[in-house]
Amino acid sequence: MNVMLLVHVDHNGIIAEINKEHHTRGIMACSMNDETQLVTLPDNHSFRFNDTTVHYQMVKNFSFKQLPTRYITPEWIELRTNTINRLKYLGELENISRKVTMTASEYYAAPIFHGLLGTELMKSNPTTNTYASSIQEWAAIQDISVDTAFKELTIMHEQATGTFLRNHALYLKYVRILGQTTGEENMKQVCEDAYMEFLRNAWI
Amino acid sequence: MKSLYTANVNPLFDKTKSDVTRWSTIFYMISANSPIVDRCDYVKMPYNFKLYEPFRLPKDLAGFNMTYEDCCMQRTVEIVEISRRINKPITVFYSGGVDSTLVLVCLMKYLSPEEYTQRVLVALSWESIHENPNFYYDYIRPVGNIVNSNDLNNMFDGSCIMVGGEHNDQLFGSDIIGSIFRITGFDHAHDPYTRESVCHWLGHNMPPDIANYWFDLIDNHIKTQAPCEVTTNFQFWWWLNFAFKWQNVFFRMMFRVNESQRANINQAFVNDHFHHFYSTVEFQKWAMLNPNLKIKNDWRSYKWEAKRLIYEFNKDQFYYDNKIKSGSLNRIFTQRKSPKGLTSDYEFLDIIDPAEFYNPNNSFL
Repeated sequence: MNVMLLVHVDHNGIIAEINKEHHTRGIMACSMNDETQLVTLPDNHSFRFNDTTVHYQMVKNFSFKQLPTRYITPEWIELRTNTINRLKYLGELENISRKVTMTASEYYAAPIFHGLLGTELMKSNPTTNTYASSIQEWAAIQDISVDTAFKELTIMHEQATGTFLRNHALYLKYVRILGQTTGEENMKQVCEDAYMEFLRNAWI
Repeated sequence: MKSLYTANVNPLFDKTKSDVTRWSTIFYMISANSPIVDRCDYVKMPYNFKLYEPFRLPKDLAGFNMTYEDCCMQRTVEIVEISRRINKPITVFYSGGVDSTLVLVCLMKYLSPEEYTQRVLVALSWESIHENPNFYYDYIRPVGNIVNSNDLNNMFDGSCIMVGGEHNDQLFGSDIIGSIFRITGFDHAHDPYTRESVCHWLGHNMPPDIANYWFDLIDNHIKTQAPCEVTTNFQFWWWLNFAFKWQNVFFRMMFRVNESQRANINQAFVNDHFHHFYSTVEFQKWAMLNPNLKIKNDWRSYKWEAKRLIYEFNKDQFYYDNKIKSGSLNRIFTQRKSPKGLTSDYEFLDIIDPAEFYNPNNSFL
């Protein structure tokens, strides 16, 4: 199995295991002196990379040994604890964010579809009655005028892209805040603030 | 002294003041984006929320005999006349729900097909289509007069008359009722309301002493202010919505206008360009005099009089039998920036200083 590890550049101490690849940048934004390593380990490996009571050091050929005790300082443990907590709350933040995007499009291939749709809409110009051939075909299959098809697809596209862009902006905002936050209680509060801004502010 | 038409009340929760704390407990049950304003001006809030005068609760019900359909037609004529007078199109905010579907039905019935096509735009989202697909595919799509309702906050530029379907929920009942009966069942909806029945539900959201406090306050309001019958559990929750939430419901779409268009909004703009279909005094009187036309013996029959008018138009039996209310504005409001307050001078406040609006002569002392 592949395992993504966050490794300290001073001594190759393992800070944490990153379970989701896209959390890597969020985590790395919080610290200067680390790098990621993708390591292949046996499926039944017994390393506990996210347990702050055990400390590993990566040595040659992606093998591991106990981190020398001189490196296991209070600062090192704090760094690991904050990083591991941050990973947990990055996951929480992602769940909050997904609540919005999971219903943002009706089509299973939405990410590809909306990329293509945007291009096709840009090829069209309703004021000159010029429409991309793909939109003309869509209208014909749907048995509606191409003008109505253009409007309907525009609404669909604007809605989906608007939702994804707002959501992305908020996600990045809170990843950055989380990256600058230490202490589990503070991180929990960041997620509560995020929930408010992602969702709850809209409640009526 | 400045006063508010609406606000997000979170910044007003001053825990050092016992009256404010008492008042704030209602927001255990309703959203902090839904400040309550008493349309009878009887319950005084601890902050200066000014009653928007056109919404003072009408109490003279003598001689009123208009049907719901009469009210709809009267309102349709009013809206169309404004559109003709200022020569701007009508943009209907369409969610696919009962309220906005009926608005379109009224306009389609009143206007010739040519004038409807020319005068009416339907602002919708993909969810609007899903919520009432038959109506979309049979009546909206063939005309093709559609725009994106997600662009709501940019539509306050004065280019059209905006018409929402708000206040029909306040005429017929309350979304709180839906939440209650989804859990408790509908068996006791038409039973007389009692302290026990009301506090049972309030107790889901607040401690017993607070629940009793709010029961006393609303019960007293009903007994001293209501010019109509408010006796059942269903009617108790309707009254809360009808008398206290009406004002915020009117302003909540406008509240989320894009910052660049806030300056366009003043009383003249509101008079000509911003309307909710079900806001009229006649609709309100109808609501107070016709409790039997609001719901039958299950939640699916909620708003059945409105659904009946839609059915007469499109003969969609499935929609008539099965359509259940679902909120749609949340989706449009999601992740949109909104201010914290709107003053009665149409000033949008991004920050509210509680001290500036505190009202020491309030009913929560």
